[in-house]
Amino acid sequence: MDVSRRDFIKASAAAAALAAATGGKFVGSAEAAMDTSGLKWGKAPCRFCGTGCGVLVGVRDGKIVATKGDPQSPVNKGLNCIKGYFLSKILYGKDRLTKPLIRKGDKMVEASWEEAMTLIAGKFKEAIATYGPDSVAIYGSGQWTVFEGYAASKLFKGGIGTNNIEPNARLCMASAVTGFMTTFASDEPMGCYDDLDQGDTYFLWGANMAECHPVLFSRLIDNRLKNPNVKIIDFGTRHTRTSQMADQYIKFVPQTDLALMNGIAHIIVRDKLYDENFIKKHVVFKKGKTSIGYGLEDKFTFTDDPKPQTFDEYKEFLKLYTPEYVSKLSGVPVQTIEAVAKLYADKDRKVNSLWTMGFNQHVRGTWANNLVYNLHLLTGKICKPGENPMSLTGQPSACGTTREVGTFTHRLPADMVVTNPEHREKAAKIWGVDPKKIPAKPTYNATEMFRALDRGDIKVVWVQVTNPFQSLPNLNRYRKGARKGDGRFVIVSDIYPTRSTELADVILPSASWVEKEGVFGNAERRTQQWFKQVDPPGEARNDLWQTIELARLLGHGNLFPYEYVEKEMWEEYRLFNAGQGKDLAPYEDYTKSRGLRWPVVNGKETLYRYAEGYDPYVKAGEGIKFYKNKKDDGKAVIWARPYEPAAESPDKKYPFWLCTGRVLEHWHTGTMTGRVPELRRAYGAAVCELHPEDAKRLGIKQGSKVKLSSRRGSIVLTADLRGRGKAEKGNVFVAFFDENKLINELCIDAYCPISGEPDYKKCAVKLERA
Amino acid sequence: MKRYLPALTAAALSVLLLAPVLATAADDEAFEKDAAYAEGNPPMVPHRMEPGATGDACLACHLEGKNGAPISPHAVRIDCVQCHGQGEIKETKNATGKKKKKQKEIK
Repeated sequence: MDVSRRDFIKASAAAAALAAATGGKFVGSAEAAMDTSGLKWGKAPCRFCGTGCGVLVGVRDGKIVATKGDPQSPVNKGLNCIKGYFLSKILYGKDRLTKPLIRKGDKMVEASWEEAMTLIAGKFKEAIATYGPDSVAIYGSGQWTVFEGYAASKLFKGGIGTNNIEPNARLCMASAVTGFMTTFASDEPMGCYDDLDQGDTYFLWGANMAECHPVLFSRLIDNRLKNPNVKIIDFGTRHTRTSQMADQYIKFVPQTDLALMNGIAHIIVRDKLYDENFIKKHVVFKKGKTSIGYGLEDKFTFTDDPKPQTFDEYKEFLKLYTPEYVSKLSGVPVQTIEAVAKLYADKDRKVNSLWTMGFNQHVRGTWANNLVYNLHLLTGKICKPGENPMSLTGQPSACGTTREVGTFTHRLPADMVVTNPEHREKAAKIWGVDPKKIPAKPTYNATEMFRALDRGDIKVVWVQVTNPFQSLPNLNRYRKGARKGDGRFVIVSDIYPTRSTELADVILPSASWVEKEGVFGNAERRTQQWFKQVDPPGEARNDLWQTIELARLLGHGNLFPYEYVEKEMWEEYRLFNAGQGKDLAPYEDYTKSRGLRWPVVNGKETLYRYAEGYDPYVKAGEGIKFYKNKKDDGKAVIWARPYEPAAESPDKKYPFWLCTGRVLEHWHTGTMTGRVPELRRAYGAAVCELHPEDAKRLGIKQGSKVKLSSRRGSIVLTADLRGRGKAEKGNVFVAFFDENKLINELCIDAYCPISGEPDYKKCAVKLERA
Repeated sequence: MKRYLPALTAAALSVLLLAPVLATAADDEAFEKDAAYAEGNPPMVPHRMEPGATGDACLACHLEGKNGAPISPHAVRIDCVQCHGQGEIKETKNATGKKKKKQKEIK
């Protein structure tokens, strides 16, 4: 990078004098010409990703007319990414849904709320009476507010009596959850975003932060500009904008991250670079089952069988992963693996690992998470300012709602699970229901839920705040399943027509973002509240109201006896977290702050979990204590997890790896960003990134049409040989935001047996000229 | 690097101005005040950009205002494309006011 620290400091010193003298014109702000007088301003977290940037929302005449990056927000300090700058336009697409719609044959016909909700309640009652409570389901998302998720969980688990509740976070963060639970016995990171400013060595594992977490990436880049010692090392299977700005890009063969991390651990152990004291005090060793399958069969189940190990047994396990062996598997040169291991272990370096979907959307996603924690636990680089492993999230409340409220089939709030009788007892007590009401057995993970709909085991499914019929893997099967008839009934609540509303029997028009009051929780445990600032258009209504209305019609209205719904629900929800190391503050505290990182005890937020002086649960003299892992005496677990191959690898017939993901301008399935003209113009359609040599061999040129096929589906895309992302040889990449190019039809619905999260990053495809 | 100095200076100034605002709990009703000094939304880029454009490429002109390019007020933010996306490409005038026949590809 040309702009060095020295130049930066020199420049700062002469700032005032020269600024006046330059005489050049500055880049004007796009909003500068806009009259912002008379706007009423409020705060909200951004609607998009898990970073949780603060934004200021400017309202005039009942409409959002401007948004700005909130300079008071500790997350983004006034900066947004390009999506965030266009927040004011996401709610005002021309085709906004404003009335309930009911399917009459092939047509969707406008209806009143009463008519729609009565029909929905009738379908629920009928299915429950005929087939039992496990024939109805709700599928929500990491974009649910805490209230919406909490109400859905309470109604389905505590009222209807089924564990048929799942979020799309299962497709996104589930491996991070099982990683945290198996290593530390408590979900969510020990560190926080301050580590991005305070560390000096950053390993990115399969995370294109420059496009997917741009504001956090900017914090990294700022750090490097101020501290010449900072190194950013990007491990990836594709050369991205992140790779371009990193100090080093290390490409590896898909799936071999497992081998690489064991290889790094091998060198750390071989050369005795580990922190022996830390290990003695804070770590136990375990191994689990191997050859655990891929979840490809309907009703697949898996239970791990953890067995304790000694450090010596773990060393024995690592023997296989010599740099030579790992190099052969991964394609990473031996000397690079050696150098990386030494960087991880360097006592003078503050090391952070950052990852997101590369690890999580992985048929061994839980293992990948365990293995990265191993590196930090071996070297003792954890629970300290500026050195931590940090799992990034993709949705605004994947943490706050789905993980903390526990809107998964097996979970309850505050890390509790339905399989534990004490946990059910506690939940039932807070909810005021009979403990027998909450079933002890989890039902379906997200993929299995839609398999059950396809088979007909689930009859009624309500989809809220997400778009499964674009975002599920092996999409053809689940899209067809939804319209098989025979008593199946699909309800979709959304703000725009989507690839999911087109398969619905009833479409409900929802309120979004600042059209309702809400709370989101971001990736650094920061809980952020906002008030309603504008009315939703037409007859659109809050999803929270929709869920409570269904409860009322099903005779469960007593579960929601609130006047000020959000505030009272919050105070009730808080009872789950109190005293659990997950404490939340009273509602008012969030209305006044730019978010607080839990646990919040006596009004004080926690920057570093498990660390004395930061975490109020760690006693004086304990230093670091993984106190949530009671069964291992407050120690964390180093897991022996081997390399195992992907569910489907390239072969003669399908010779390419397919990886899917995001681009900067669009968020998720593009239903909101796709309605902003500027963002559509900046990035209009999904393309197929491929390597120029592969293209040449197949007679494909830049811009030619290519037919991309897997064993599950086939689409035609435009070839891109020199885009912002550059495919490695034998790999192709396609973004999943484009509703006209359903790339997920090609993806395999194989998942991590422990987390249930599908692998969207690896399947085999072939390419032909179209 | 010397050639970058003047504009870097301006950039540093703007960063310094923004620096002292870090606060956890804000005065709750000061949103209007905050909004007044928050930066406005960034303009889109009215010329063609290479897909792999980085800060170096952009600042080659936007640091000092070469070729009539507006000077960046925050040249220390070097992931330019994070905020500035590809905008509508209009016929542009060059520095001498003469209309260009063809938009040159900017690398």
